[in-house]
Amino acid sequence: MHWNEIVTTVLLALGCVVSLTGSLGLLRMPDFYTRLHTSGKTDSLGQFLILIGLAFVTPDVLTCIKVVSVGMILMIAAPTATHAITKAAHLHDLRPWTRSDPGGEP
Amino acid sequence: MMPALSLFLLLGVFWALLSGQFHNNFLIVAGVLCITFIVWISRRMGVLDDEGVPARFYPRTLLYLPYLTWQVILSNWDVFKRIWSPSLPIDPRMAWVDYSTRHPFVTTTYANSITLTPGTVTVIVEERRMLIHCLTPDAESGLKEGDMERHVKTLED
Repeated sequence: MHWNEIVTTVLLALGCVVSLTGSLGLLRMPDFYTRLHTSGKTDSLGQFLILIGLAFVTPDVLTCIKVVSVGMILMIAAPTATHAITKAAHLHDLRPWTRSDPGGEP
Repeated sequence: MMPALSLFLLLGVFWALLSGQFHNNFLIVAGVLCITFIVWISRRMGVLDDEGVPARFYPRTLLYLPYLTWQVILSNWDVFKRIWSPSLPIDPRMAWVDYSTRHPFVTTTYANSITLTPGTVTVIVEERRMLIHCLTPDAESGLKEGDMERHVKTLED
């Protein structure tokens, strides 16, 4: 194996573990807001790791730059989307789940 | 004039990197014409100001990225442990956090950084404070210490 294939394998495996954790968090978290924490961002790091990993096995520099730009755009778009969804939920008076008030979700 | 020039250069670099056409004269001319058209339209729409094209912040934003990446990895590891832990040790709460950044681009960067780091999500941004949904008390106190805000404010100098 060439050195860049090893780096790609490690990064892809890390990305898969992080994405799997995001999905598991989505199932385990109690309410809407806490689910956004796991789905919106553990997932974005997972996708970023996968894209960076793929950037090491691209055939030429231009493709590499494109893959990295997709990752950078994702880093800006993901939190913006998360913020928009959270704000919409807050404006609709969705009460967050807390330890003292477990019946938060209507 | 400066915003128009920086937008022109930015779009030019973006077009060249995505298309990879450096040898076909017709395509280069077509690209330059398209970019000129976009800059002209933005000028007519009045979005060519310090907020629409915050080019003077870009170099310092690049310097800020390593710190942000490290914070994202650290807080990801924290949330990672909590998700896999059988007892699910979370204590979510809403918290108002004051901020003192002035320029809209810096405030946006700060709010986006907060959302990007797992454990904290920006819900509402007001004139002087933000409503943050925190997954743990540690995330809330870490934010109120203002370490990230100090790093973001270096963009404004």
